[in-house]
Amino acid sequence: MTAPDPSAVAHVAGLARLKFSDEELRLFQQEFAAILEMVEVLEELPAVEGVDTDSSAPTPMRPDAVTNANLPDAMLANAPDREGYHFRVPAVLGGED
Amino acid sequence: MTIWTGASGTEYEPVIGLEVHAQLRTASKLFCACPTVFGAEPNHHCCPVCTGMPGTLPVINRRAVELAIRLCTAVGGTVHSGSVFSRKNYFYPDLPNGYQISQFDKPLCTGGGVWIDTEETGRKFIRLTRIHMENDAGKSSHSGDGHSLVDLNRSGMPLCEIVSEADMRSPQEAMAYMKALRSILRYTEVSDGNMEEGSFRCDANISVRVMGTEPFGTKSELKNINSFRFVGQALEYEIRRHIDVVDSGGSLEQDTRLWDSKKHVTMFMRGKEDAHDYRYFPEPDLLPLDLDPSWVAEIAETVPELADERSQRFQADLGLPSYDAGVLTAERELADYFEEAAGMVSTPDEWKALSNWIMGDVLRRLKEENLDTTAIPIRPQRLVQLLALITDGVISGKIAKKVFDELWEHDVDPATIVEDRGWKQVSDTAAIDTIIQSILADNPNEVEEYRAGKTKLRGFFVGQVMRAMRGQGNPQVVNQRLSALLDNTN
Amino acid sequence: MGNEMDTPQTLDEMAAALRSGQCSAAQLIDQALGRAQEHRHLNAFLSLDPEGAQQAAAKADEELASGHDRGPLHGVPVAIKDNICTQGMPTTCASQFLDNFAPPYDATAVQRLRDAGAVIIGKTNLDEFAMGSSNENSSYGPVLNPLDTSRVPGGSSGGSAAAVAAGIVPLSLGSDTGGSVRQPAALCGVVGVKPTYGRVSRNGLVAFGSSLDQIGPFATTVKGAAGVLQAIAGGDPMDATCPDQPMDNWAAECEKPVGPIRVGLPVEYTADLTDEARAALLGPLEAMDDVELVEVALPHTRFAIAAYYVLASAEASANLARFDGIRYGVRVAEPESDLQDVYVASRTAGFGPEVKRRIMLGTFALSAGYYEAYYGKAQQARAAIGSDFDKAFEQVDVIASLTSPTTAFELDARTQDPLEMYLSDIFTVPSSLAGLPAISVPAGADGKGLPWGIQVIAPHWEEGSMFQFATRIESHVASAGSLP
Ligand SMILES: [Mg+2]
Ligand SMILES: [Zn+2]
Repeated sequence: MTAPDPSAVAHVAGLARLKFSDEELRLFQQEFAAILEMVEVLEELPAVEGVDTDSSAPTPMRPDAVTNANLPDAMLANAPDREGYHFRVPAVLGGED
Repeated sequence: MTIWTGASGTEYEPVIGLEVHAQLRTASKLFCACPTVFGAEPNHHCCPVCTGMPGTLPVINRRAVELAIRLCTAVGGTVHSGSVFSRKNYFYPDLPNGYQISQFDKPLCTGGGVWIDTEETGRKFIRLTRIHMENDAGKSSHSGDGHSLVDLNRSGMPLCEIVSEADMRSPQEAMAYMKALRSILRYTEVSDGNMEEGSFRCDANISVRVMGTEPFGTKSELKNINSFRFVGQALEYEIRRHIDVVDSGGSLEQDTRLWDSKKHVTMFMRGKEDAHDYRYFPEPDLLPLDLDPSWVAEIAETVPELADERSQRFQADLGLPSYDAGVLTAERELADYFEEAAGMVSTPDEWKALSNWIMGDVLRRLKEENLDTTAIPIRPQRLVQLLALITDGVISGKIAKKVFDELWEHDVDPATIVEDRGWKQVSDTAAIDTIIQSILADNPNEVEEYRAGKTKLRGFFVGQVMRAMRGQGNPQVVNQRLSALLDNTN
Repeated sequence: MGNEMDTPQTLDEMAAALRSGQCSAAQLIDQALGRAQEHRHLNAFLSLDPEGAQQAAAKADEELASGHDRGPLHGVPVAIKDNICTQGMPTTCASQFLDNFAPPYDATAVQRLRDAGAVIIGKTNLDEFAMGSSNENSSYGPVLNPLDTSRVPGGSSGGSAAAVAAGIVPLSLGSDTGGSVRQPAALCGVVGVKPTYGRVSRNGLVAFGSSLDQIGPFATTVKGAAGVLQAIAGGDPMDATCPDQPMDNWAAECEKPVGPIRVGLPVEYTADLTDEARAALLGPLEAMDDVELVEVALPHTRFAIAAYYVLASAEASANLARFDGIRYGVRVAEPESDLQDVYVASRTAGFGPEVKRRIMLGTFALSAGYYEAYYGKAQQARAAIGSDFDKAFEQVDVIASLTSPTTAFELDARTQDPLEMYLSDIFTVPSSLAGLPAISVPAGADGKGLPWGIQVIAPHWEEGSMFQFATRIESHVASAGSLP
């Protein structure tokens, strides 16, 4: 495991929708290097066999019942921008998944 | 069979796989207690969970799991206990958590498949790769002033994603596959398959290769196609586009495209280099879906006989042509209707006659009145009674249509209708002779012309007689007596 | 109200005073609000709710007078960490991003506290989104340690720890992902509990590392903490990871006469201790009757911090994706901004450096090509650490260690080196990864008079034995008179 170069750090920032100045990116790269060096210890983990990572608890499921209150005002109360009962955002272009 | 040929004369073969998203028929959403009813005011069917408020958690809807398992069983897939939900991370305003809760490396179901039947290639098995559960995103629309308006009513709707192998070789097969899948969803009541409301949508993966070669070409992914017709059109367009590029020696880039149903073209959306890095990892808020085998078995018991099986049975046991069997079994309710009626008669002619009535008049009226197959107002028994009146010569086929229209409005014994309206067929030779003779007497010129060889006029005489008899003359007898009185006097 | 000497301080004293008529809930709330004002310089609170609290206190007084007794918390002032949702009250997570955010719902734990009659006086400061070990990562400034204001209170629940340590409230709620209740409890000299993962509903706790997060109480006494846990614990249909599990009466458990106990001392936790630290741990344990100390091995401990930072950061990177400026929180947009600009600008402006650092680390660890090496390996390490504990608990009833390798450090001492800060959690992280219940109890003081905390770790769902042994340490330390 080697620390990512500045362009890789910028790529990760893009995935995370964060922006850094070049200076910050350089600092991040250094911190990353240190953190990843710490994390490198995981390479020494012996191949684990027979370790049970599954939970034995049964999955709780909820009944198919409609119980929520019709509260659009509460849902929109914190909205930075709205139009009627819609959240309003700068244009979305194209579709996605 | 359509042959896809490039300008160079080389023949190509399309390779198509589909990913279908079907909404599960639950009352509440997948992870919260909001209603799934379509058409509410924006953001009125939302709660802190499906709007992605901080601190909220998903808890899975048992009914959604049950429906998904029923679908998996219906298509003969293997249902896995211990399937795992994963977070699929991407930013989009429709996606309030910034991730979709889907299944990734451990889906609910693998394998299975769907039979299709096309005129071009006949019966064919389309294999399924997997079926998994996930939640839907919301919807955004344009405000007209450069903004988008986000409505999260759809956010959290329960979906099944059904992924096929790349087994289809034509747009026709792709459409047949979608129809077959939708039929299964509706037969099993897993989904209402309503395309207008977005509860049945499809992404298509398409590539072409030189006929007879193995390796797949570069693929394009077509996103969010929401009608059978658009699937056909989009695939036709895309196959042609791929062949044009490949055939002229060009190379394709893997991409994702959208079908523009107004301009009839696919539009570039993003290339491979912009492909998302979804950073899937197991959803820590949900435990693996441990399934009690007895519950799965119980659910399997609820899968009804499906369209394909039923169609095979209608052909084998009732002697119906495959076309008829296909139309009658496309919807469960229609097949049930036919089957109830068919059980009251016993000959292949009668079964075929019933099929004709249903495929013809019944479906036509449903379509005209925008009704679905649950809403046929005529009871099967009445249709059988109507059929018997024709078989027994009580009414003509023409009168039968009138009786049918009456039955559509009122549930009465067709015999009573015929009786009350005086619609009984007249087969009495003497009565018919009297009418023929008076018609011949009233039209001496036509009689002369006819006898001089203008035999086309025969239809005129038949028409006159039938009109005089208000349609109730037995056509066979009328024809026979016309021959006797018109031709023989010659 | 009588003079300061007579004022009830602990949960027990307050409960008794309310029922004997020595004081009213209204007086207790006024006293708490007054002390919060007096200790403003600690920056322990991000918001106070005097009106809501006074109303709730009046209601509690009425109910108690009419014989409707909701139990030991009825009428008692509490404080809530500001990453736990309170309906209509600010819930900022100490982040600029949520500066104006008031959730439309109560966390399950908050709802249960209200049902038990507790009175919420305000929301406490924390490291932004609970990411930190010193409370210096708050967007609203650090919290100061009430025992020495030049020092940190620990983190991330520093405000909740300080509010109890300063005597503002006898009880508070924090949240613990890798030590965020236990470590500040130790540094502030109060009791702090991280319950078994799944014991307390996470519904309404703003998620950081979902597979690790637990809400836990702070209190002046072990029994007080047990009482709070009793009120908030138990299955919740709103949290799929919070099952119905049997619960003892933990407050009663604290008072039970106890027999001999086998206490495990992990060699990995004691190897590098300074003499002073070792004495702080072993002094009380060796002096107690009926305690058999057994050396145990937790050989995968050395992987814990790495596994923790990969897993918690990976989960955080997804958990914090919902902060996008669309439905709530900060939105930074220029007239020409497109949607992507809004995401980037809002998140860049809204999050502080440590939050960004963890989102970056987590995003990286999950990104294409790195998943197996980081997330996959970290999960394996986590499983191995869990089985280490399982084996140890075949030999011993509980495990004891120091809660933190050091006492409270000075403000700014570790802010320049994230790694050094991460190591503050070295003794608390492994039990978090294993989902085990653990408590920090004040032990002796160091040379500067700063408290040490002893951590007691118990097997899954065995909070009862954890509280029992913690009470024994508490009484021993009290009788030895070694507390600061
Ligand atoms: Mg999908
Ligand atoms: Zn909802």
